[in-house]
Amino acid sequence: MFELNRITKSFDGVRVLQDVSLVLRPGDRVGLTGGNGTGKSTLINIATGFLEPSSGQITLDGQPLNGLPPWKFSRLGIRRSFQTARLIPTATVRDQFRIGNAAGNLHRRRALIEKCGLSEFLDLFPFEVPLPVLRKVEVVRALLADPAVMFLDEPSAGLSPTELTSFAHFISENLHDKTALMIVEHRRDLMRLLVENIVTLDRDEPGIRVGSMPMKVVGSA
Amino acid sequence: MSLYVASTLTNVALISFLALSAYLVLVVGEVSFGQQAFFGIGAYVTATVTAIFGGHVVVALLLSTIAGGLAALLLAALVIRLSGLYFAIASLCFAELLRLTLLRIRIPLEIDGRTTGMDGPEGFSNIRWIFENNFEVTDFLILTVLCLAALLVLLFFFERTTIMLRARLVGKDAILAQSLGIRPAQYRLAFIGLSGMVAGFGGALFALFNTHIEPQMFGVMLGVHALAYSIIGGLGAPLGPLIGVGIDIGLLESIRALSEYRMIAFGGLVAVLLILFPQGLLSPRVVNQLRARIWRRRV
Repeated sequence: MFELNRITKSFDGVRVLQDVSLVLRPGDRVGLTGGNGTGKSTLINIATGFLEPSSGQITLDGQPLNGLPPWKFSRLGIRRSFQTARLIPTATVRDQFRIGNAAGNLHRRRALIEKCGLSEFLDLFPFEVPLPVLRKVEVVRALLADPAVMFLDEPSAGLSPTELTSFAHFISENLHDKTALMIVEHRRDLMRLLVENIVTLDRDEPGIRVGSMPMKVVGSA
Repeated sequence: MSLYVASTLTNVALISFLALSAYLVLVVGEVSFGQQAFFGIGAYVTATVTAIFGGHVVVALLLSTIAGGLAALLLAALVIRLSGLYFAIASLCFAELLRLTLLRIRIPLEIDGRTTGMDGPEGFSNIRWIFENNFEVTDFLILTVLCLAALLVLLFFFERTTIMLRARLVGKDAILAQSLGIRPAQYRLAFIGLSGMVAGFGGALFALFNTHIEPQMFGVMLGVHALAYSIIGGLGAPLGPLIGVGIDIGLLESIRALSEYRMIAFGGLVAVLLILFPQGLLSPRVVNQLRARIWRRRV
């Protein structure tokens, strides 16, 4: 169980997040919404160790994570994707998969790659591959680690509506049962396909507003 | 082969070790102005082992490599938390500190009627291994080129390993690396240590070839050149830095009319090349495009 407890974050006195609490259990599928500047990305950065909260605790199965470096978060199974397709420019698609820590064994990798229809791209470099494929590569790279928690930051950015649907199916089909997914998205249609409940960040209101299934989310303080 | 050509080529090969060491640091995204220090350490260690203790040359080369690596690790461990500009400045300070220290150490010795040993600004003379073993200039050229070729082959295979992929990722995008569970400091430390080993080994050969070394040889300009070779040559493949060395020493210095103005010509050339090829001649992108093309032909 991944837990954020009363997270507050200020940058130079400007408060971006206030008293945000959140619980992600294995298998949860949660959408995170909120207008521009409500701190969605900040929340992900805090939850994955890239930013330190001004106050509040982060725990995974009771183990406190505050102050650990991002690579440690990643090794503990808290993985993320970035808003823009972030691949290694100097590596082939095949190498993108084997580069990460906990990249799974070769058989597993091969099976998943084949299943996701990425086999034909393995020897190509990112600059030769269309964007939807790059997006897939990113998600598969995260999936290979069987993460406990996976944060996807606008994974559909740059995809057309038709690509979107197949992309959503692709994610939900390949996600490990035990992985908790939190996804930041503007596109409601993608959310509907992937997510069981939605939480919202609001600039004027402390905490996090809980959507349809409040049982899975600890409410704001 | 004339003596002049052979010794120029040997110099190209020797400085290539230094350029490759700068390359290994650049790969993990750091800039070092201090690789000449590890080169110098390697040179002094080999000089001491062969000329004073009469040690076997293999032992000397080995100790030089280890000493260069340890010195680089020490520097990296001290300042690894600093990155970017701060690491560059720290490496420069380290190298200058070493050079100034070497200028102060004066323990001249008399061995077989010849003065040898560290003697401050007078340098370390009579490193006679090359004479004692009847090495001609061309013999030494062959030895150096063989060592360099072996190193290149090693680096070539190393290039395809996960370790190298991760190191390049750390240099290019440390944030992404961390999100994949890679610890950047670990790779920076390891590669800076490795770079010290390569420089130390090159410095050892340099001492044997020159038979006389002095602290001024390991000044800032040497480090700046090593860096420039890698930058104009490109970071896509280990051949890049060698192209840089070839252009500077092989081409510019060997054209005698130019040799006096070599610094000016090289400086100008670096500026022009960086405008035309900001990522160097063999940039990762170019190397990848070549690799992609070769692949496709095979398919």
